[in-house]
Amino acid sequence: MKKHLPIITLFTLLSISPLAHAQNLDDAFQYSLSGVTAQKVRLTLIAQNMANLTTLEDENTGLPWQKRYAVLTPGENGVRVVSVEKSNKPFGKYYDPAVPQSNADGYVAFPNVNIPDEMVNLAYTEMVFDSNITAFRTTKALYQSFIDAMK
Amino acid sequence: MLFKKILLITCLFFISTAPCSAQSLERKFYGPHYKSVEEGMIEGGRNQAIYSYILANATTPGVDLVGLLPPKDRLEILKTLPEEATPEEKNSAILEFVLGKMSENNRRTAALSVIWGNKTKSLKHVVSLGK
Repeated sequence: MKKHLPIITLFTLLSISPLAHAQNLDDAFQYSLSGVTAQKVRLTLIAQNMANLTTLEDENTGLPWQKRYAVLTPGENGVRVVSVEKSNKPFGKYYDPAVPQSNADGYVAFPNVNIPDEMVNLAYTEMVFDSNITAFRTTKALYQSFIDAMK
Repeated sequence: MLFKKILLITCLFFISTAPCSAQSLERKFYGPHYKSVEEGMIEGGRNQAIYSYILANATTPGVDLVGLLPPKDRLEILKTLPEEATPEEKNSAILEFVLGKMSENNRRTAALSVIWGNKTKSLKHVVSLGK
């Protein structure tokens, strides 16, 4: 038995995917749905960041707008949005003593949102969102072909 | 006495050969490829679930997406990527690969389901002829 153990282990590793809980088309639907939801949350946060690009004072914190991002984690039902966090990157600043939010030295802090970063994130998130929709449609087509076969 | 023995032997023969007869009958009805078609369809569904899971986690940090692929696809993608590539670099190439494989898997499984449907139809036809 000991002699065959490496062979059995190798066979098991090659034949079984680490995703033991992914079994059928119902699971595929669930995963695609969770993926679409997660990407929708990411898109919403990117839109919020872009919209608040010039918000110098957040009404909750009194600070300039802090970049929001979603914390994702893999789970048995696909992907899960654990929380929405605020970025701790330092704020930018520029000199304008006329602005009411400027400090004693005349500098104004502005949001730590980087437009090119957000645009790249937006493009990638949109692509992943579309991919999940494609996966959902493919699963639906596969389901339909199984149903047609049983007619 | 002899008659009883013959009867007993005959009964034993029928009892012992009954499962074999059932198997051969099943084989006659369904053919040797019926089961492999069914298994192919089940595997197609499982692969679809795996591809969907990978796409759902495409933006999740710290997930080894290449490692989640079915073994055959994993070997295929590792042939095209450099060995020294980091997991992040490997993950960046996986989206298009998975979409392509998903399409391929969809066509194959749909074809298998058509074969399964046709086999079942012809089986129904054969059975109804015996009525």
